[in-house]
Amino acid sequence: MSRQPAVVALAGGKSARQRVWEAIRLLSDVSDFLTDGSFLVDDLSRKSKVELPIVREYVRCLMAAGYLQWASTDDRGPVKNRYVLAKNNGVEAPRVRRDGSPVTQGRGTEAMWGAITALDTFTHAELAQIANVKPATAANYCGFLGRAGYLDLVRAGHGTGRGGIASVWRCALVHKHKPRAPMVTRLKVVYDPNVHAIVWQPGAADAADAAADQIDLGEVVE
Amino acid sequence: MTENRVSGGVPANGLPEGGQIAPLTNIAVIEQAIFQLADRGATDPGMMVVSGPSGYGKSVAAAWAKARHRAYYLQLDDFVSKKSLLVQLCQVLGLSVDGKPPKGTIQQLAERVAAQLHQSRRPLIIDEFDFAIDKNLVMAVFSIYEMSRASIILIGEEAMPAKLKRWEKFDGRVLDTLYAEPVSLEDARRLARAKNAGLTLADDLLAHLVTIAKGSVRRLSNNLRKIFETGAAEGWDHCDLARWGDRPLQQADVKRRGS
Repeated sequence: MSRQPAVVALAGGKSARQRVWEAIRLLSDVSDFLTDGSFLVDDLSRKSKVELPIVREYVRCLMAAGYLQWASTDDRGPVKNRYVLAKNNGVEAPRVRRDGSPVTQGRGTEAMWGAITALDTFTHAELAQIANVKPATAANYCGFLGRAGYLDLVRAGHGTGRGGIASVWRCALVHKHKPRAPMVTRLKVVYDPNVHAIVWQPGAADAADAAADQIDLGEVVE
Repeated sequence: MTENRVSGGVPANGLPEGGQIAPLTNIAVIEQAIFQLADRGATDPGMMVVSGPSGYGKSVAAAWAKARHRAYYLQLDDFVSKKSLLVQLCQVLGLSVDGKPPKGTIQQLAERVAAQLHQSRRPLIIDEFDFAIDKNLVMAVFSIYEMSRASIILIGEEAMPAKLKRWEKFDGRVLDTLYAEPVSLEDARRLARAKNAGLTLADDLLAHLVTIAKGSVRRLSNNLRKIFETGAAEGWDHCDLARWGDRPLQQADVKRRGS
């Protein structure tokens, strides 16, 4: 039987930091007794195929947060360029800043997606309440996910403010088991990290319709 | 094992700050479960049971915990088997091997799931746990707990705690059993206020809604929605029992489809 890969990784698209974290977990795995579980920054860069400055920066963040430590050897004292994993946090790369504090950006989106995939039907106001975000944030997220086909519109709302009826949404069944939150990027496109793809962008549907019309009219589509 | 009840309307200690409204009674119940687990000693058992009848808002409370405490969440169904339980857990935990979902024997999958649960220190919520009992998967969950020592919250119907007593070993790993509370007048007031659609509801109407809901927060919100829609159409700014009159409302004893 072929050897099972020892280290389980995160499913879906990966950031540079995520790849570095996976390299750290892989190089710390001492189950085959070939290594002592310590590594150089160069080892991480080679294994993760991430450029050195980015690796160095992330290692600095992880050191500050206590996820990594200097490797120490008995005879020569602490060696200042070898690292060992001190706190294994699982498959997800710790999101930490240079001073070791956790990165908070993106938590609202994560909380909203968490609630969306557990709830049956909901309005943006209910979602905002449960995920602890501003109602406008929830409304915006629901709107984009609706356009991307990630949410089904159970009942369209109308009007705004008092007397307006909010839209009722439900998570589309095929997306309900996705663990990572789709995000609306700065360019206002919807990115799904679970499949590592842009799943919606403005104008794409119109362009597709126009192409379909061209086929109907017998025009050549190149 | 001790059994606890959270008194109605009183939030559990250590609620996350910054919420716009005070949570509903049953959100307080799941908050208590999370905090009891987080506070447990090194030798204390790490599983909590939350039980209550259908419609009491257990799953909404689970969504709250999932959103606010980064809990892993799995809802079981009638098709669950030992293998599918582990495959679904791998998916929920976001695990992959070489870019594909993990494969292997159920033992290997269980080890991977347990390792991730142990390392991430995130709680796991299993909803509709009654299915695990029916499908004889209680000891599978027991084994995952033993391997990971993670905080696990099991949610199910009201008969579940009694059914779980059959597995003595399992029962010993349960830290506490909490019961979901029937919907209260205070809950009704909070829900009505949260809708905030320029329509105030009198207490006699809310009290009537609580009575006919027979404990179900789902039924209560359905009726609230109906009243707010009628109110918006009629241009009301106030509604009491007399104004509502004998317009239809969802009753507890009426058989409903698709609930």
